[in-house]
Amino acid sequence: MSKPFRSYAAAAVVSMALAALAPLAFAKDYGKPGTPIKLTIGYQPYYTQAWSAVIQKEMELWKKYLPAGSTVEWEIGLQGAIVGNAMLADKNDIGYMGDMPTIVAISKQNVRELRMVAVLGLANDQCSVFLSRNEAPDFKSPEEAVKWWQGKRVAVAKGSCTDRSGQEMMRKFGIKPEQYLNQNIEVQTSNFKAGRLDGSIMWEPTASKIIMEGIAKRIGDTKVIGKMDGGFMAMQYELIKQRPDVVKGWLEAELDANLFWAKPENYMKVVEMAHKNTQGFSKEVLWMSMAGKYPKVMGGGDVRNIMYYGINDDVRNMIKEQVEFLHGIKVLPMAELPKELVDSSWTDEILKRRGLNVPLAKIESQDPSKYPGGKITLPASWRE
Amino acid sequence: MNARPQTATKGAIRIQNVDKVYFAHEGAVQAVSDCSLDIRAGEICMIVGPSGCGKTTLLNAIAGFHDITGGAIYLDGEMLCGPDKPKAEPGPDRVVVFQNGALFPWKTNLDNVAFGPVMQGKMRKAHANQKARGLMADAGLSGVEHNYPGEISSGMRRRVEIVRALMNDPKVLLLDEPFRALDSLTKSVMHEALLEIYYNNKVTIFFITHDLEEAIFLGHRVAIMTTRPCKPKKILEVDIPHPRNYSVLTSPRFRSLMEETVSAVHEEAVKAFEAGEKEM
Amino acid sequence: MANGLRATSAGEIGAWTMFMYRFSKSLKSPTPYLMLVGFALFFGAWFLLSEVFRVWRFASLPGPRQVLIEWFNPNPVYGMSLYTPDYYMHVWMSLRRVLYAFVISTGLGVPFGLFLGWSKNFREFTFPVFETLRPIPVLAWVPLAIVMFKGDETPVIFLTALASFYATALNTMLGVQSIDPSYPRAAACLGASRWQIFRHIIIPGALPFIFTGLQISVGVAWFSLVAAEMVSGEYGLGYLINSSYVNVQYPVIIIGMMSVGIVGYASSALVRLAGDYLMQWRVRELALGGGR
Repeated sequence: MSKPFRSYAAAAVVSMALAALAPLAFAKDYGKPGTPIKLTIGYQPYYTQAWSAVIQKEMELWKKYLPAGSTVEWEIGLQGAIVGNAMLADKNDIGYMGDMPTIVAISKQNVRELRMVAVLGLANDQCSVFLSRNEAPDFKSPEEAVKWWQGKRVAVAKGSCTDRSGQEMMRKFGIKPEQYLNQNIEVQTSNFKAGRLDGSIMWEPTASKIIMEGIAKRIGDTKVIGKMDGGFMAMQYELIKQRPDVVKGWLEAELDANLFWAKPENYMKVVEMAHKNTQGFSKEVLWMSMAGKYPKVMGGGDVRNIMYYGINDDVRNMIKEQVEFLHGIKVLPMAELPKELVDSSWTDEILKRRGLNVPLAKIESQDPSKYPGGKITLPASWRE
Repeated sequence: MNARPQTATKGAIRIQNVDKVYFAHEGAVQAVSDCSLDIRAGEICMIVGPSGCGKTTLLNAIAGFHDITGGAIYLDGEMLCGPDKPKAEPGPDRVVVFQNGALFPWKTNLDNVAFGPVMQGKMRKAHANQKARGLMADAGLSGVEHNYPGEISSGMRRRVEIVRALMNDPKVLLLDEPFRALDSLTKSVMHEALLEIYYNNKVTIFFITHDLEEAIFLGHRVAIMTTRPCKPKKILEVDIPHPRNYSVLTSPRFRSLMEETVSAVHEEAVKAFEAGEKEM
Repeated sequence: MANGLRATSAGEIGAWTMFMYRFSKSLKSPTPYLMLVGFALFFGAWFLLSEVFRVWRFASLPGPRQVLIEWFNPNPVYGMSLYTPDYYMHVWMSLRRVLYAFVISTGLGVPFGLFLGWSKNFREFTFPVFETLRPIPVLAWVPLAIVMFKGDETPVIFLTALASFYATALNTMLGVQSIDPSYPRAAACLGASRWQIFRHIIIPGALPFIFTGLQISVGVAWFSLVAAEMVSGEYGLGYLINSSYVNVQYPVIIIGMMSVGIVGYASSALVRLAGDYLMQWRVRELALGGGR
């Protein structure tokens, strides 16, 4: 072997050996039950359905249930897929995500073991609000309004619940847009403003922001596909294995957050908390995203969110259908998820102990005039 | 007696009280001061001096690359540059052959040689090529017309460059240490080649060098310049008859001329060395 | 002629001949074997770390075997392989964008760079603005690009061409500035006008630097493409990488990356080939074993 070759080979062997000797235990050590723990939570203040995390954060509800001295770090994800990828990279211990990113993340067992442990909520218009440009004609019903998308330029953020709703809608109505683009919601906003987009699907609160600021108009929600969309919570399997006390504690705090949110007198307080954790959103918009009542012709309904918290058969069926669908569009390699990936045992136990049922509560939509913080100016696209 | 070419009546240069001041970091540098020199039409005038004494500045002024800050330069009675016109226009009547060679590497040797007349619009390309081939053959360069300068030896490159200059029927050839980068064996061959070219084309040659031997061998007159500021210190008439060949170098007359001038040159060289001149 | 190169009767060596010469020369030398060893070490290390030893965080990465199996799968798990027509659509869309962007950035960058180097006034005019805009990253231009340009492809091509333009213009300018001042002086002596000097001296003289700049700019274009394709929303290797990230399809990310690498390398090689064709004189000089 020539001299330089020898030294390269030696360097390669040494670096590989060093890499191999690096902490071989790629399982994180969460400490013994009862000891203080440091948790990193991936949460989405820019996703209304996941605001239970914001409530936990602002009211520090977890302090009551986790061992004294525990700390919590909150990491913002701008999109569910980002939180999902962070969990797969073991950077987040607990994650708040929409349905599609959760399902995709927990399915990747060969990357990391994750489990879905709770439901944030199910709704028709938290994750998927259908929008059309202002110049689109006004239709009598959301079904007709959505059919207008035939041959048009439509955008969604791929990998999110809006993608799933979009694809299901196209399949159900046999609609083929001229373009089905993958753009994040900031780019979609710019495109609406520049008049270069005909339709899109967005999640709250950005959807309400776009509507209330007159950038686009609301035309429907997942009622057109007859399904609901959901938000879920996932956790690292190692955390569940090593620290059942922490899992229980966090989920108890989560239940408290939900119960707090369910009371109408607390709506404004939640809005304040969300306002503190976001930028560029007015309180009016945040309130509208959470509880605002949109007219039926715009695809609005009577219920903005159903807080399930626990996982019942409805939820399991929903997940099953979604997995089949995602397999069909080649996002998931499998047609069915192993049962153990969806773990309802924790929430079942807590609900039983506290004498509560699934679903916990509903957030009913409120007329904009009921906004406690002043008067909400309705956009030009508003019609009853 | 000097066989000064009788037929040449053009190419006389008069350098009259020329000053050149450069403005560099250290302040004003007087490169040339009150320099006067007459170069006769058709003669080979060698300019000798240590590196950096300002000889190139003089050449650049004649060629029109730099301006002068005082005095005037005339070519055949017409002013090239002077008080109202500090910088001369470069032109084909005074063609320069550069120290490191300036044959255009991206053109073939033939295209290089034909460049001048074609650019000036004096000849059509085919006609220029024909003339170029002829001149190159005279200089012993047939066979390399279609090569690029990068493919031939440095000695041949110099010859091509000289031929390129001659294509334009210049009055004056300005040579700025053209053989400096050549080894001494090639150099001696180039000297004889240059002389042969000179005998065929009676053109004034203004030749800068630091090599005294080269100067005495080639020149009709040798002007020894002082170190910065540049001024003629001593002018030597070389009365060895033309045509000359290499045997001249060992002749007694050559040796005595060397003895006369070497001390003057050496004195300036020491001054330059002590002053730590930069190449100008 | 030296080293087995055959010249045509006009003394020209065709670009293809040059390519074959270089290729055959490289086969004879020990270097191609080193190149293969280099690749083997890279793939070997990747394979060992992610699939065999499953060392620490490398265990989460797809290994080369997994990627290659998917890439060559007639029925790929994630729908993207050499057998799916969509894959070639992605490659072609990216290639097409890079091509347009490259043509635009070269067409604008070379003249701009030539003038920057040639004219002091022009340089003092434009260089400060040029240099101030240069550090702005492609992603920062995205919102402006969407607003400024109609159509879908135009903003993407603009964003891709931006950094390329800078690489080309800068290298061209340096090329002009690197020209030995003796050349324009010699040309002036020989009676060439300023425009003739520009055409016969400056442009050919700057060509070596220009082509270095072009090779860099092709690479930079590919670079910017991934960011630019965030705007496009449909098709393209950058889009593929982006969408497989959000869908957590790691093997597809790697397929996308490797595709960019291969096509990018090929495009660089093409630029080099074009350079060799235009700069015969340089190629022959180098073949004879030395520059000046």
